[in-house]
Amino acid sequence: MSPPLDTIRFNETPEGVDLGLRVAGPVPRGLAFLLDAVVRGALYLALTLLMAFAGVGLGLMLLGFFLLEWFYPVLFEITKGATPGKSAMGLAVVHDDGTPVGLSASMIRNLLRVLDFMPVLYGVGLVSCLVDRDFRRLGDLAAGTLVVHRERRRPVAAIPQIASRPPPPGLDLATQQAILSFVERGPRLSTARRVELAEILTADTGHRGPAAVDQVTGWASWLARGQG
Amino acid sequence: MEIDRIQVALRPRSPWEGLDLGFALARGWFWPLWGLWCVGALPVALILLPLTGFRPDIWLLAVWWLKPLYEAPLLAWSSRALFGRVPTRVDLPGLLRVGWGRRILPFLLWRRLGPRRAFTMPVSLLEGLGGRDGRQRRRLLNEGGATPSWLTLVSYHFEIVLWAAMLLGLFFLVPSELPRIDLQSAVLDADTWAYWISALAYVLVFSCIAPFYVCAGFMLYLNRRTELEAWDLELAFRKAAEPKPHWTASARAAPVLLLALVFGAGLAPGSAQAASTSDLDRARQLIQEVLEASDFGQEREVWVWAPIERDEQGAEPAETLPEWIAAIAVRVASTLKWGLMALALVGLALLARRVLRDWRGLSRRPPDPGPEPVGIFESIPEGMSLDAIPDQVRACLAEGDARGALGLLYRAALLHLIQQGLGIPDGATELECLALARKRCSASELGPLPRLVREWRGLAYAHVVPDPGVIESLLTDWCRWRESRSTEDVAV
Repeated sequence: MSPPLDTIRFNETPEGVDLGLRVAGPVPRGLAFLLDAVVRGALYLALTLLMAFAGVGLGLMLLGFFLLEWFYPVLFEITKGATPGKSAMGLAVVHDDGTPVGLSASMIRNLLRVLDFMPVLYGVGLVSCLVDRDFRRLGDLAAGTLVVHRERRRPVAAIPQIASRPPPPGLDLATQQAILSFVERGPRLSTARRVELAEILTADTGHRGPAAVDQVTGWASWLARGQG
Repeated sequence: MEIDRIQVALRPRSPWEGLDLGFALARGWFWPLWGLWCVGALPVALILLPLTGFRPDIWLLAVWWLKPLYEAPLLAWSSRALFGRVPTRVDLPGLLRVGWGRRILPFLLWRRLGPRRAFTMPVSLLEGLGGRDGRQRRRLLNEGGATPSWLTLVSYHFEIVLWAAMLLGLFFLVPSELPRIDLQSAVLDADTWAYWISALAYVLVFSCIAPFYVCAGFMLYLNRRTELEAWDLELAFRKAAEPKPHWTASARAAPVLLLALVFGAGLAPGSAQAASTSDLDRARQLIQEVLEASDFGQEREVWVWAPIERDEQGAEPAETLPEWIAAIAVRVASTLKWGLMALALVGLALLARRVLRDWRGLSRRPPDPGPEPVGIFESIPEGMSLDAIPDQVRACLAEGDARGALGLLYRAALLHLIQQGLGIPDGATELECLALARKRCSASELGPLPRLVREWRGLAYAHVVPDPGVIESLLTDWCRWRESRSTEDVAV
């Protein structure tokens, strides 16, 4: 059986750590582009107004347009890792090995926007995005970059203070994590569903109903805090 | 529903990531889904043609309005493929029955323009919920955020972008000798053939976006249910609860085998041999199994372009030059070569000589010690006793040489101190001399020395020339000091 499909790309570091990059698809990227277009449009408007009413010359305005057009994404990508639109959508640009995007890669991917824009409004880029395994447009393919979902900082969920109970021996890491996650996400599940889930694990011990939930919560407390 | 057979990784995801997963799924399943879409849409579109009186604008609107009709079988297909049962042609009637039941009606009527169409379709079609239950269920699912609406909105725009790209691409790529597509009439004028092309392009585009749209909506639905019902935890718990894989069992049997081996060895050597080889085979098999586990690395197929046949002759021979030019070139080049070699030899020899000289220490000279410090005794003109100093100083003063006078006086003072038995090292500075003297004598015994040192330093370093009167008074003090010290010595 092939491994289950996911949008995570794993990169193994020399230390043997798997770094997971959660690549972002065309819809969030399209919305990020829209937000950036709004920001950039406002800047264009401001420049035009400056030219028209504040006596800034046409040449300066055109220079400003040039810089905005070509370096707006580059500037934000190499300083903040994402343009304002991408940050708002929780996206970031990274090299395909997970390192922060550098000047050359950012330049390449943004210069190739010209190609992706063909023939109108990123038609080529959209097709490339839909076809590629990692949702890369041509600029990303050339520069070796990925657009990924940023890791959100989630508040640490509390594990209820309950007497620890030793879990059955030989639980593997995934199961231990699942037990902890079960208790952390408990408040968001219905009571009946919690019982149903807990009973899968406690089938051997014979606990049924709410006692099963208590049992698993006790195990979680043991895993999180030890015997105390 | 067999959750164990699910083809995607279950984990808590943000709605955006769920949507991306849908796009990834649709990419993998694109061709069967697209085929299924055509199977559903082509007959409908053909029937609609005469019904709309062959008017492309109304026809396009009708085809567009009935979109949920072609999307429903796609949803049924994906819901089966997701759990590992990829439908075949035989299943087509079943898929159409699921898709074209009575639950599709709301989607063709009042829910057609709802922005969450793809997201709520699974509730009606797959869960089969309608009426009040359905409404309740949809409300619960809809609390998960606005992503489903964004999906619909963005998908529409994707369609428009692709349609415009296709039309413009056609416009640009058709050679100018052929009849050109009039872009304006392609968009606005329903009576032209160009409008038909544009309408067909639009249908083609939304057939291509449909698999993505359906899968993304379905994955959003699944993501929301995973969030509400913790499917990922169910899967993890089920895995933990199921019995362990078989090779652990064979490992558990190993001691028994070993025991049998020992007993067998005691009884009959021949059978023991057989037992140990079979055990070896077993072990090899076990090792093979362990090595094949994903922990020990994996095999990957990598495709690269390689030349089919190597160019045997190598580079083409360069253009031949006339012989005499070649001869001259060879001569020049060889001369140059020998010249360079000779130069290198000379350089090497020079280097060797240098290294050798350094090595023997021939070139090593003692570092320049600088001028010898002038001893105080030498600093006073020869044959001049301290008694002659006042005259000398006065002579200098008379000549206007304040520097000579004061310097002489200072040296004489030091000389006097040395005669008194004070050790002053060579090269001691004025302040050091003063400090040494202070250590030895009391303030009254120092006499004019502090003042003398101050004036001398001022003159020597700052070029502050004192008045001749000051020097005179210093001289007087000095004479008195010397006499007093001498008489003290006599007294002692």
